Order: sequence, then structure tokens, then C-alpha cells
Amino acid sequence: MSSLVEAFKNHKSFYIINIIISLLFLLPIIWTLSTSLKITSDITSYPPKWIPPTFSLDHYKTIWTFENGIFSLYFLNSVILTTFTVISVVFISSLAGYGFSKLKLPFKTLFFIMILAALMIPFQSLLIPLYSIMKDIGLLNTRLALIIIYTTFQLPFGVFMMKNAFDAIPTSLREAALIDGSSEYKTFLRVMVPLVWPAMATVAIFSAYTTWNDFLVALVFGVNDNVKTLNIGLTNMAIGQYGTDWGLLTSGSMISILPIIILFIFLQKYFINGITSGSVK
Amino acid sequence: MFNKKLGLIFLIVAFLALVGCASGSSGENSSSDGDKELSLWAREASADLMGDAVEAFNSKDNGIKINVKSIPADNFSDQLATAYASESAPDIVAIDLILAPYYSSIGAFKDLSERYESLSFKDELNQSMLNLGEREGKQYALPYSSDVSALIYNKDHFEDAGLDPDSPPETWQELRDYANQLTTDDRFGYVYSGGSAGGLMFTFMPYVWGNGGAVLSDDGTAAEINSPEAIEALQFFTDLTQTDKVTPEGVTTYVNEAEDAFTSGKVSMIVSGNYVVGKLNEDYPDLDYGVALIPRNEGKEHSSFSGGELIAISKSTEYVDEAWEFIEYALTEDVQVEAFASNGIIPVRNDFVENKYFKEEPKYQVFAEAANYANAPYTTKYNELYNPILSGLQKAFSGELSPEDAVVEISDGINDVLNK
Amino acid sequence: MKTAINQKLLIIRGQKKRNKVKLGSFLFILPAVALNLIFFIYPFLQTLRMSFYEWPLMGEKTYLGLSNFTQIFLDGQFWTSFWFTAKYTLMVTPLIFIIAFSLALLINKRLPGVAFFRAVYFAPVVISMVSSALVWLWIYNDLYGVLNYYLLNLGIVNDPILWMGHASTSLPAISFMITWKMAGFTMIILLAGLQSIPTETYEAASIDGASTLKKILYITIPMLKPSIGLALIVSVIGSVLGFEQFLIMTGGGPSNTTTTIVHYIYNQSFKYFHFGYGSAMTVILLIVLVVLSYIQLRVLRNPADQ
Repeated sequence: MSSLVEAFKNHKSFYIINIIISLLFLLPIIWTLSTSLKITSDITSYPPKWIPPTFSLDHYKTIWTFENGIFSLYFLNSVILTTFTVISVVFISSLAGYGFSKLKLPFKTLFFIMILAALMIPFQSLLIPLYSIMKDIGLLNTRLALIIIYTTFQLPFGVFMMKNAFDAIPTSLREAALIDGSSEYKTFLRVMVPLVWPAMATVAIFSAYTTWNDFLVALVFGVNDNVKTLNIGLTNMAIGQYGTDWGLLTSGSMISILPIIILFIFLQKYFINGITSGSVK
Repeated sequence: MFNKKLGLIFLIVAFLALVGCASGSSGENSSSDGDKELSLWAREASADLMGDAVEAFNSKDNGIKINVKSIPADNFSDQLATAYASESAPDIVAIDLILAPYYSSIGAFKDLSERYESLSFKDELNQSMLNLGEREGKQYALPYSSDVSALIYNKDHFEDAGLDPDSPPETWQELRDYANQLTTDDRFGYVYSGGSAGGLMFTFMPYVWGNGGAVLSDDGTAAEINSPEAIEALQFFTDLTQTDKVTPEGVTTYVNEAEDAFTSGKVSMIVSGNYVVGKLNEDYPDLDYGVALIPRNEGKEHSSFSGGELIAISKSTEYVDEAWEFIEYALTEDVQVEAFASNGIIPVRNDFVENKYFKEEPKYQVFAEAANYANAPYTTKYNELYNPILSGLQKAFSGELSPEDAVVEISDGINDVLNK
Repeated sequence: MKTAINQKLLIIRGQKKRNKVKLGSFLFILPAVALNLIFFIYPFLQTLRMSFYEWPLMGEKTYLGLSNFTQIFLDGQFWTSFWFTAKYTLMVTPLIFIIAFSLALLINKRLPGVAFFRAVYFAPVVISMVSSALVWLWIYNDLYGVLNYYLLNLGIVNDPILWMGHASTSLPAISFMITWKMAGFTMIILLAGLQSIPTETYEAASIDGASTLKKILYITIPMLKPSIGLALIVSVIGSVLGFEQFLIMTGGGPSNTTTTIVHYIYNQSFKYFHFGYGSAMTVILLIVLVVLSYIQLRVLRNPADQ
């Protein structure tokens, strides 16, 4: 704590500017949080109140106890899907990013553009053909189908990001390692990967929140409760043809951003512990 | 050699990791106890309500198990279209009734005419909904659940304005007068939902129908909105918005925004559906409100929008008899009264409209009465037609076009779509 | 001396190796390319095929040749949507970039508490688009919204602003909400990029007496070019494909003035069931985006590649 006070004294403008901007960013989230803690009849009351006149955890309880706690199953599904997607995206992107950056391959540009192009298409336009493929290979209603689709359509960003990161590493470093008798794979794993943690962390975060928040893919390709995700469960419950249940929508949002924010706080130290922390000497 | 092996091992590990988590998959069409499994897709509102009824059906010893998939209303069309296009449709569909003519026309549904004729209660089924399930003399879909629209008003506001809270506006003129009296510095007398096609269906079209106008011809092949009756209704709305300013100028208000405005006390009267009764009773115990039929023009009829769902069997299903058994069950008292009417959904059988739940809550009876006046257009191009309609009406409400010019533009737009 | 010769020798050998494509090298890109081919290119080819047909949901498909494409060029709504999307992209991209760049520079420090600020700026990214759009729609509401309440109470306006009532107000309002939502994402891309700039470069510049602005202009931006390129490309693509926020907040209205191109494709495909026509627009959109991204890549390519 004293170090924070010390730092504040020495970097006053840094902290003051950040606090002001943080407040601006937080206002809509505070509004969301405050709404989630109100009783329903207070939610749309006017004039708007930032502090709930009656505090209540009812909406959180409703979610938690819905159908004997089915949301813990949805939550678990989301965790499983997100974990596997993040692993496969980070892994495949790193390999490919390295390949596109450092290796000599025929049709490299073509492949790279093909991969990027997956980012440039409205996903809805591929819905019907993709659904047919998944049906033909018998993957409808499986987690695997979701993971494959997430991975394919998150790869453009991942590969691009990783290629950039490997591009920034001097080619001489790789050559030196190869000269020392290290194989391509060892060079990749032992020399290169430790230098691109910030990029890998970024890709992991991107993959995590994209998967976690996905709605369309999980809805269309997963039919049964055992592959239903948290986001689908919450949206289904909070937003209906008969209007928005603000209490459930906002408490659901608060519940569902927490895991990703925790992951972010855990990973953000890698944003800074990259090359500057001295692997390259 | 080692390096290649290492690489391969990594790939294999990655692949196994991917495949390993595929175990969450589920078998199809045969459950552990040998029941035939049928899928039923419905919008989340009705799917959620019938959870218990489906469970009761499944626990019967008839060898049938129904799996309900609840789909958010906004995504229903994406999901259903994708499934039909990929030839992997659900066995049974509870479909937004407005879309039923299209799906019947492309041959998505099984012809149920004979089975329908054999129903003992076939004459009790809601006739306007049956019409939407019919095509070229064949019955493809049957009524399943029903929503209609009516006027909801805040009784406290009526008292504030010196109006009698027990005599809601009966005619257009009264609506206009009351709205003027109810409007204050921080309150609007009346709000309609001009933001979406569905909103206009619910809150504006009944004024056209009640006045004797129509959007389309009965067979859905020509525009009929360019009529004095429709222009008069449109003029009435633009007067409320532009001349009297008793309703906000925002023509993009959504249905749920109008409801939120009502519960926040910023608005005294809205048009909404039967489902709000349950919501208001439960969540806003202090809100004193009344329900009335949508006002009619002097010397004309009341009207209402007939929403809800029809139920149909996909042509591709192997289990027609089983699916039909479920549909018959869905039209019994167990579902129509115990699952639906208890939650404010109007039963689609006339002999169930008078039921204990509606007797307990007189407000539902107003909706049940509104159902007699309810209307919905028959068209296979509902969404596409609604684009010029929504666009033209918004131009009229906002004063950009006169009602006369707006209906001409709408009419042309509709005919363009129909003749394409 | 000996090591120098050795190195030279090995470099020559290395160069030889470089000219030969090793099979093992393919394994690096194989998983990515395989997934891409099976689950993107293959379904896309089907979309491409659909674009030459009148393709209803079920039943007979009619081959039309190029007439879907010629029809698009005569379709007024297509062009309205096209220009609206372009306007939105031009408004939101610089907004996001400038704010994200400033934030990235601001928090690229190792001070206690900085993790908290980073998490705050990133938090909106994590909230799903549906929830954010709905909450902001509420904030912007003319009858019971928070924003109008303060504008009225502070005497800034006399009548509530109908933010979603007209394209001229809904476009900036939605751009603002998207900037709030997406700046944190661009920020972490840039933050990761900033890590690849060796601190020595800045130290050297400081010794030479360069000002902060000069350091940003002459060191940070040039060395950050690849990350800036990535950030801009992703953000331009995201804006051009923008859809959900408009679907929820304006429904494309009033009178179709805020219907983005993807919203229109969605309507044609899943609302009007003209899958062929929707596919044809998708193909055009993809071509436009590939060209746009290629230009951006060329302009902002890594100096090392030139």
C-alpha cells in the first residue's frame, strides 16, 4: 500500500488522468451493476437512481437457482469450450505465425490471405454450408463442432498477431540457434516462443472473450442442454419476445464478465514481460 | 529425425485434445430406454411455459420422448432456415404464425388435413389462426398459442388528469382527448412502437383494420393499403405525434421500450400484449393499471393483432404419428389451460377461453375478447413486405411524408416485392 | 577468428538450407491451413456457388448466371447500406484508434495499480455485444434514459434528444458506444506491439534530448507499424461487418437509413430467404475487404520486409 502512495506522489498526473478516464469507462458498467442490484420495480423508475433504493440479490439468486442450478452446467460448458478453444487457437496460431514469418514455403502469401479472409466474411453467410458440413461429418450437437468453428474463425487474428510478433524478432537469432545445431522445432519452442509471450497472451485473451461471448455459433450448432453455454442460457432467459428482463440481463452480464476479467488480470503481466525484460541480449 | 517426431507429437496431442472433448456429444433419436426421440423447436416464451407439460407427456408410457429446444425469438428464423436448408429440420415446429404461410408454401410441413378433420374439437380452434396454417385448401399447421394486443393504461395517471380510471377511451376521439389531458411536462399521454415491423403490427395495424382498411388483399397477392381507411388511421397517428405532440416524436420506439416507459411512469397509455399482465402483476404490485380494447373509430369496429404460434410437423420426419400424438396433447386442457392460460397466454380453443385463470384475472378477459377481433395478414413474404411498410410508415409518423404520399410509396413498395 | 570463419561457413550453409523447402516446415502451417480449407474455403465455395442461383430455402434452385450481381448494382438499398457502412467505418476507426493508442501509451508503464487501469479499459470488450447494445439503448432512450436526464437537468438541452430517431444522431451515438466497447481491444494489440520496441532505442533518444512527442513520432509509430497495421485492419473489418449493434439499437431504421451492409445481407438471406442474392453480396463484400486489407498491409507493412 505504501508503495502505491509513494508511486502516486511521484506520478501524480499519471494516476489522476487514469482515474478520470477509468471513471468514464466504468460509468456504463456501474449502471449495469447498480441495475443488477435493484428490485425489478425500481429498475425503470424515473428519475434514474445510481444507488439502488432497495438492495437485492434476487436476480443473482434467480439465475443461480434456475431449474435446480442448470446454470452451473452452462457455466461449465462455457469453461470447457473456452479452455479448449484458447489452447488450440494459441497453439495453432503460434505454429502458423512462425511458419509465415520465418520459414520458406511455397504459396505463403496465398495461404496467408486465405486465412485472413476468414475474418472478412459475415459469418451468417456461411451458416448454411457450414451446418451441412457439420451434419455430414456427424458433429452437430457436439462441443468439437463448436471448438473447430471458433478456432477456424479466430485463427485470422491469431495468425496475424503471431506473425507480427515473430517478424519483430531478428532473423539472425533463429539462424544462430540453427547454427548451434538446434532443430527447427527446438528453435521454435526454446528460443522463439519465450520471446512472443505478449502476443500469445493477447491471442489467448482475444480467443477467450470471443468464445465466451459467442452467441450465434453456440446457438445454431448446439441444440441440447449438455452443450448449451452460459451466454445462451442468460440471453434466452433475459431477452425475450416479450421485452428485456433488465435485472437478469445486467446480473447475467456481471456474472459472465468476471471470469474473463480475472483471466485478463492474470495474463496482463505478460503484456509487459516481453522482449524488454531482457531475453534478447 | 527427432525434430519431426517432436512436431508430430505436438500435432497429435493437439488433435487428441480436440477430439477428447467431443465426448459431450449426444445421441439422436434413441434414448436409453428405447423411446423414440422427437425434437420440438419453439420460441423461448412458449418453450419455457410448456416445460412441465412436456415432462408430463414424456413420462407417459407411450414410447415417445419430446426434446424441446427453446430459441430466442430474434434468432428463430436463422436457426429454422439453416436447419431446413440443410435438411436436418426438427420433427415438430412451433412457428411464429406470421411465417407459417411461407414455410407451408415451400413444402416444409406435412399436410395435416385429414388428421385435422378427424379432431373431435376441430370446430373449437381459433379460426383466424387456422387460416394462417392453410394453403391451397390443405391444413399444414394448427393453432398452438395466442397473443393479442390491447390498450394498457395507468389508472393513477387518469386520476391525476381528472379522468375516470374505470372508463378507458373507447373511440379514437376519446383516445386523442385523453392523451392530451394526460400529457404533462414530463409525461406522454400515449406511446406506440414504431421501431420495428412487429411493433407496428401490434400497435398500429389494428387501427387500420378496425377502420375497415387492409394492408394486403385476403390472398396476399396485392397491396390494399392505399385506401381512405388506412390514410385516416395514419392521419390520426400523425396528428397525435406532430400536431398534438402527445406521443414522443421518436418513431423508433421498440415494444419493450414502450413497456419500460410505461413502468417508469413516463407514459400513461400504451398498446401491448396479454403477456404484460403477468409481468406487471408480479413485478410492479404498486402499479394500478387497466386494460381495454384498442379504441375504434366512430361507427367502426374494434381490432387487435393476432400473434402467437402455429404448430406443424416437418415433412422430413420419420415419426409422423408420434408427432401428431404430441400435437393432440398440445391442444388439450393440460397444455392450453394449465401451461398457457395460467401464464396469460390465450388458449387457441374457444371452449377453453373461459377458464379458471381468466376468471380470476378480469384483465385477461379483455384480451380474450380482443382475440375475437384479432387479425393478421396472410403472406408468404411477410418480412420482405414489411420493409417498405415500416419504412413508409416511419416517414409518415415523422412528418417527412404526408399520409397520402406515404401509402402510395408503401403500395408501390409492396407491389414491387410481390411482382418480383 | 576461428568462430568468425565458422559462423560464415554456417551462414552459407544456412542460406543453402533456406532455398530448399523442407517438408517439416509445412507442419507449422498445416493445422491452420487445413482448418481454413475445410471449414472456411470449402463452405465459402458453396456460398460462391449459391451466388449464381436463385436459391430459396428448399426446393428448385434456378441458375441465373451473373444476374444477381448486376441486380446488386441497380439496388438502391445496397448502395444506401454501402455508403452508410463506409461512413460508419470512417467515423469509428480513427476514433477507436486514437483513443486506444493514447491509452496504450498511457498504461505502458510499470507502476503499482496499472493492472487495474488496464482491466478497466479492457472490461467493456468482455461484455457481450447484445448486453452492451441493450444497456446503451437504455442510456440513450428519450423517455427514461440516463443521458437525456442529465442533459435536461443540466440545461444543455430543452427537449430530450431522440438519439435513435435519426441517422445523424444514431450514427455518432453508436460510434461512441462502439469506441467505448472496442478501444480496449486495440489497446492490447498496441500494448503487445510496444513490448517489441527495445528500451535502448528510447534511452538513446532521451540522451539526444528528444521530446516525448518526437519519440512517439520518430520511434514509436515507425516501429509499431506492424501492430498499427494489424489493429487498423481488424478494426476496419470489424466496422465494415458491423451489424448487431445497429440491429439492436436502430433496427436499421428509421426508414432503412441505418441498415449496414451485413444487416442487409442478413435480411436478404434469413428474413427474405433470397440466399442467392445474399451470397452474391457476400462475395462482393469479401472482395472489397480483401482489397482494402491488402492496401492497408502494403501501406503499413513491416519495414523489415521492404
